[in-house]
Amino acid sequence: MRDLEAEQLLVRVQQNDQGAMMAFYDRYFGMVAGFCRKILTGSNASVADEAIQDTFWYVWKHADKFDGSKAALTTWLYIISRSRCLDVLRHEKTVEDVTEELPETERGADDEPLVTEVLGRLEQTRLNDAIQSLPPPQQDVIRKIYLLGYTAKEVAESQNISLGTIKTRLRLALDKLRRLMEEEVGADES
Amino acid sequence: MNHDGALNALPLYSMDLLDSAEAKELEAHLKTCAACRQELESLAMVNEDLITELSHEDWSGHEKLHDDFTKKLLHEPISSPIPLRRRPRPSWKMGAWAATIAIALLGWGSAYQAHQEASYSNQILAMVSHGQQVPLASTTTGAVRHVDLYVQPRSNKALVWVKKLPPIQPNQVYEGWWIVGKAPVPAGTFKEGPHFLARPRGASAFAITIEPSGGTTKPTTPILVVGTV
Repeated sequence: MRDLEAEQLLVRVQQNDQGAMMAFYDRYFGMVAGFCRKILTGSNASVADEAIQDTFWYVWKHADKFDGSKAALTTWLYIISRSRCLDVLRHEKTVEDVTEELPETERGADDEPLVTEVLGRLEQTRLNDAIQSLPPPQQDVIRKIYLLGYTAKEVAESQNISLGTIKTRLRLALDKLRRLMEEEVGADES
Repeated sequence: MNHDGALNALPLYSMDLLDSAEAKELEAHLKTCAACRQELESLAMVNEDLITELSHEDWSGHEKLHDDFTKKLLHEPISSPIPLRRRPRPSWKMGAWAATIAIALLGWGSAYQAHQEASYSNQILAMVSHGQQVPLASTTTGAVRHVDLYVQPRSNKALVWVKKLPPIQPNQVYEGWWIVGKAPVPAGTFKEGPHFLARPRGASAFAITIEPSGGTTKPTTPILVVGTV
C-alpha cells in the first residue's frame, strides 16, 4: 500500500525542506537501521551507522529520483540501503585483501564470499523457508537480484544463460513467493 | 514490447533494476495495458512483504544519529526553490503538516517518545523550516554581509544566524537591536552561528552593530545590517 503521507514528505524534501527531511528521517530510521545493521552484522557499529546516515543523505540529495508509480517507498529505501551496505562490505573486503597482499582477482570472484556472507545474514528470517521451497535456479535468481541487487544482465552473464530465461525465472519465483505469502496470511487469519 | 515481455520485465522494473531504454518501452506498454498495471501494483506489495521480512526495526542510537544528521543538514547550503522570505501564513492543511513535522521533531513513535524535549538543533531546524525569514540588508554598498533572521509571527521567539560579517576582536561581540518606536532596544549579543533572541512587542526593525564584550545599552558603532520586521 502506498504511503501517501510519506510521499508528500518526500515532495517537500525535493524542495529542500529540512524539516520535512528530518520528519522523513524519524519515520524511517527504524527500518533503515534494522536493515543496515543486519547486513553489517560483524562490522564495527560505526560502520553501520555510517551506512544509515549515507542512506538518508542520498534521500536528501536525490529525493527527486523516487517514482511512486514504479515502486513503494520502502522498496526504494531498501534499494538505497542495500547499495550503501554492499559498498561498505566491498570496501572492507578490499582493505582486508590489500592487508593480506592477496593477488587481485576478478570482481565476480571477489564477490562470492560477500554473497555467501550477506545471504547468511539476510536469510535468518521466515523468508528463508519460502525461498528454500523454490527450485534451485529460481532461488538463485531471487537471491542475486532481490537480496544483492545484481542486474538481470549480470546474473545472465555469470551463468551463461539468456536474459529472457533469467526474467522468466524471476517472474515464476515471485509468483510462487506471492502465493506462499498469501497462504501464510490466510493461515494466520484462520 | 509485447505483453509477455512486459510481464517478464515488471519484477525488475518494480525494483528499479531495468535499464532505462527497456524501462521506457515498458512504460509505454503500461499506458495501454491495465493487466500489467495491476500486476505492477501487485508486485509492489510483494516487494514490500519481502522487505518487511528482511528488516526488523531497530531504533537504538536514534537520538544521537538524528542530532548528527540535523547538524549536517543545517550546515548544508540551501539552494532552495522554496521562497524562504515571508512565507504566507500556513493554511489548515499546512498546519496539519507542520503538526506532523513538529511531532516528528519532538519524537515520533514509542521508541523515542521519551525524548519530547527537542534538542537545540531541532529548535533551530524548526525555526528555519517554519519561521518567517526577515531580509537583512547591508548598510555598506558592495560589502558581503550575510545574516539570516527568522521570526515566529505568533510568538516572541526569533533566531539570528550570523554567517558573514566583518570579523570581531576577542573583546568584541555582535549586538542585535530591535527598533521599538524609534528607539533601539538591546536584543542580545552573539558571535557567528545561530542564536535565539526574544522579540519585544512593537519591534518594527532589527539591526546589528559591533560592541564591546558584554554589550551596551545604546549602539556605539555603525549599523552593519538592518531589516524591517
